[in-house]
Amino acid sequence: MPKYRIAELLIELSSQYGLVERVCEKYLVETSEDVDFSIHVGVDEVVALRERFPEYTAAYAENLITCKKVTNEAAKRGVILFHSAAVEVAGHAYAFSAPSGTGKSTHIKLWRTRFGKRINIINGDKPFLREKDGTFYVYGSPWCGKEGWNRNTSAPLAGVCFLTRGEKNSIKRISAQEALPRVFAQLLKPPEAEGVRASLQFADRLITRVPIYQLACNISDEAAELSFATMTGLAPD
Amino acid sequence: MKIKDGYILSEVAGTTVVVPIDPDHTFRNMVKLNETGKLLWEKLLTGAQVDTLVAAIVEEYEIDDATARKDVLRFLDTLRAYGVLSEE
Repeated sequence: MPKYRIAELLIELSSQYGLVERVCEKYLVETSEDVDFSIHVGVDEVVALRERFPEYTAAYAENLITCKKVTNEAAKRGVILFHSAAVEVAGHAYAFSAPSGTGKSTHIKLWRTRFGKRINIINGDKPFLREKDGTFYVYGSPWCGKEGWNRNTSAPLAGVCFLTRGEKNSIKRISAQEALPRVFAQLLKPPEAEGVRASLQFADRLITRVPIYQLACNISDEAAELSFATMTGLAPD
Repeated sequence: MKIKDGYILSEVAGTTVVVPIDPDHTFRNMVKLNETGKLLWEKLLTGAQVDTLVAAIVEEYEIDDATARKDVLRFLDTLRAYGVLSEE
């Protein structure tokens, strides 16, 4: 069975419809090391999901269930999936979070257009987070949203930004207390008590270690310049 | 009355919060409790009637019965609105 290294976890994934192998190919490794965990998706699980969502192909369903299972197992090992779009600039990661459809991807694209090659997209939708020695690291993952943006890379998290649409652009830092429910809402949590508790603790530490911002923005270069300058402290050019 | 199964109370970011275990629940993502709320929540975990709750508040905060009753009833209404209260 193929082995993949994702967020520094060694994971064995068995799959049969081809899509899982394809999305995970950047993370494939040849090694005899023991895996951290093994994931298998049963045909019955695929069938059950397709009964609820008949528009899903078997391949899509298997990929979705694989992602969910990997997320749950990873969470038990302190690796938490953060629903956000994450980029890396000058060795630091910045994560943009918002309800689906608000414009995370659009804002990331603005950064790319405005700042060019300085911006590396780590993951467009579902990066993993891990805490090591008091620093939070962002990791690429195979599951990344419809644009297919993902790189097998990692960087220390230097800022989280919650996006809302606004006519005028404005950004401010928010307190840990204000940030807590928002961060917690975007962590993918295993549906059992211990996992939820651990995610809460994770969110608690994250909000005290990483600056959290709220950005109201329109779709403009100015919006990108504002968030970039505020979060990275770097010169625009 | 009792708090339904499936919620976790925790102290984070210097506040007391309650979160649901089941992510598909209609309950809001997170609710903050003040000191009084936390006291009532903990009593309700094992089940309590209004009078017991009122007596607990009166004893803890040394306020009059009528004010305590108002607070307790309002809190219970909020819990009902969130769907976390079981009426047995």
